[in-house]
Amino acid sequence: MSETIISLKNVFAGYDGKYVVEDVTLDVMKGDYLGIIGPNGGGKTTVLKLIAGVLKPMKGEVRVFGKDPVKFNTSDRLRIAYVKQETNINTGFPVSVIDVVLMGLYAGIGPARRVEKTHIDKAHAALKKTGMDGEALKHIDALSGGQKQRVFISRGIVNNPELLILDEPTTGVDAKNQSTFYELLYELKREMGLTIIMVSHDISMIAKQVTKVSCVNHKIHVHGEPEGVLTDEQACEVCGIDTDFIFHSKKSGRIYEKHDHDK
Amino acid sequence: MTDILHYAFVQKALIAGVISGVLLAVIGVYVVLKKMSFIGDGIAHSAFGGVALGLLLGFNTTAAAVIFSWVIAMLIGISKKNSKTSEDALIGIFFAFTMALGVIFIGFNKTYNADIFGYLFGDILAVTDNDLYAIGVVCVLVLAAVYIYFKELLFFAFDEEGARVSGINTDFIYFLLLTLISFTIVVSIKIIGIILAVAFLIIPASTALLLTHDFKKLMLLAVIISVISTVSGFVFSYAFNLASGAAIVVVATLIFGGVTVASRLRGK
Repeated sequence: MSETIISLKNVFAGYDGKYVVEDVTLDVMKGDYLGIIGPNGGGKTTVLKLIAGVLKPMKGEVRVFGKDPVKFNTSDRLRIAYVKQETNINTGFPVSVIDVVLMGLYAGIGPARRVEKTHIDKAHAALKKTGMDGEALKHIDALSGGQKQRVFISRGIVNNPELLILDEPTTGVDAKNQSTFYELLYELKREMGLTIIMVSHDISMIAKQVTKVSCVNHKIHVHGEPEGVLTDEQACEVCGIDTDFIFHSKKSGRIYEKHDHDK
Repeated sequence: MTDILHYAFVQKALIAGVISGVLLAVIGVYVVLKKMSFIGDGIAHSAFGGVALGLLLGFNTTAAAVIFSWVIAMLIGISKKNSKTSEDALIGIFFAFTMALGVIFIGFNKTYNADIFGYLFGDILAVTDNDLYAIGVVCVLVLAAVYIYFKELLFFAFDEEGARVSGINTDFIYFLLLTLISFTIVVSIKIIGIILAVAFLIIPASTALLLTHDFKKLMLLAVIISVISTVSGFVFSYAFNLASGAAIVVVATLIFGGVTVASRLRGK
């Protein structure tokens, strides 16, 4: 039986004293590829922030690798990579692509120590995995949205983490590049043995790639294999799933029959 | 004009001006990139309360202003992390409160006859030996902190949340940066003045940002622009009997304007 690496038990969390998510309970096993769906403002990013240890729960318990992620030390933190929406990145900042990837190594290098050749080699290796090594010396703002996200994934995987957390990684990425981006994620998961948690609005991708789906709309309404969640009538209503995306029909291709209420 | 370099007070003024120009440029790079100029302004104005308290109690005004501004910087930081009030509003509140305290302290001081204009707008020729020592000590401390935490400050300024998740102690870096800003501004008061300090924190870095996309070159260019502005501003202030801070800021702004126009023309 695979190991539980993330556990949220009856968690209440939010901002300025107001709950954004309530009574959330969630388990993620090693090797899972979890897709989190739900309407805007429903608390998807809040759940990611709780797991990444950026936000403290107001009530309940969050455990990642058996520890409270808010109290993680540096070596614990290196086991996690968190990639947020590309649109939230500081534009006009004077750094190159390789500089951005090297930042992922800074905590491990420690204060007063300089970046050495081994660190630069690691950064190039991470860029190669995402197909961005050819752009290493470009200014970060010279890249497209999809290319920037690949660079931020390189920064995330430069420490060989066990858990990759992605918050709507294809926002600002054109449709053509979205599918190659998801293929890249799948390949990285296979190659590096990653556990992936991803918030996405892209239900068709969720249906094709992930092994588990959670629908967050202030509470976790459904959680399980995509077959169960994406064909659940209640999930469609609560999570705002557009049933046009659920057009498949055979298990082999992760294809779903239409719901009764669509017929 | 070179004759004036023989005077000890001119030498002190120039040394103090160049050192504070370097400090303001280095710290200004982080202030501009992290978009913290308003917090810098709040800290600079809080120094007025510190200077007035020092005058009232008969303390060294630089030491009083350093302690006072640092305490206010920490209070702004702690309030930002723990209050529901927005950061902008908090800075505005502390800004007004410390200026008001400064005015009240000056009101209490019946024997007061210090040159408030010099503190507000800079009086580079009034730099004393003690001021020079204070600037030297702060320069060593600030540059040592920037050297030690160079990577962490860069990551924090670029992506605070990403830095935190990756294992950087961003709370420590945030309070360290507030400390560096408060120390840098306070020791520069004699040269640039309380009112204009934030301008000089922002202008050299903003000018350099028009010229390069490389972080290390940006810092070097900001320092060069800052030192050129300080020295030429000093020359103008001496030649025309102007407030040193005002002359330095005018030169720096003219350089910024020239670089902006040149980079627009080059872009076309």
